[in-house]
Amino acid sequence: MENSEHDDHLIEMDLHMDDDVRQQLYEAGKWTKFISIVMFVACGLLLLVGLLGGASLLSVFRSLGATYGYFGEFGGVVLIAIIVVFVGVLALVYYFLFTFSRKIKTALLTNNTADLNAGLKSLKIFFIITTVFAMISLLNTISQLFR
Amino acid sequence: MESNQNSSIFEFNIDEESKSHFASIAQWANINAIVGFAGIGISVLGFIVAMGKMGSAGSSYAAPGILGLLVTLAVGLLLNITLIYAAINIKKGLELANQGHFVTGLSKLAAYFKIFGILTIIALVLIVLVVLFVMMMGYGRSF
Repeated sequence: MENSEHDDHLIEMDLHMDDDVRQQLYEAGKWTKFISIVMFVACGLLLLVGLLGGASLLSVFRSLGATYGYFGEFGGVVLIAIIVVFVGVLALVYYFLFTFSRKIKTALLTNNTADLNAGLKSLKIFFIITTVFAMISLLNTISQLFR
Repeated sequence: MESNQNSSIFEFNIDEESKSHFASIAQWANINAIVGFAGIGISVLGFIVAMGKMGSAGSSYAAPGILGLLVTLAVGLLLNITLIYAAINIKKGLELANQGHFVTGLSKLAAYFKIFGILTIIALVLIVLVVLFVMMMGYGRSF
């Protein structure tokens, strides 16, 4: 009896998985799932539009003849490559957010700490990547400002 | 049965690894929000510099530019303030082992993703409207 009270007191002293924490993690998981699915669809559409645009650019330059043919083909291939890389990176970033939502949902359903930690790790990677990209974007904006 | 229930409740808890992940999330979310605030500041500065360079010729572009800037400011501030609150409260919750701060931090983090999601819905609606408008313009010209 005394031991049980002592254990309860220790648990209250530290952070624990109460209903509020579960509710907030569930909410975060629900919205991150929605955001990541929308981003995956956007990536698919962007890839489709990019490939069609690149292909039409190739055909336009080919029709202009030998003078523009080489540069046109190069430009089209570069455009397609840039879009594929951009879409790949974007999809990878949101894959981590999707993994967070999936793992958190499983963790809450099965009470599994390993899944909780895997989800949190994915969210951490998502924040690291988005922060690095935000920094690069900020530096780019600053460099353009002083040009 | 009771013992099984108890063990499952105690197994699913915030262990040292979870705390370490939460601390990293708070740290990176904090940096993310600070970079976001810096970005907002640079955007405002860039707008003022651009308006100054254009002089009187830029006055016709000023109104849509200011509108765009205000939207950027509102969205950026809303997202980054929510994120920095989340980061500060999660960090405090972990450092002081305070459940109240920790729950507030998580609720702000959930709110951040909720705002992000609602903005995504608004962006989707706007994209659909623009596509419909362009298609209607195209049909209008063909007749």
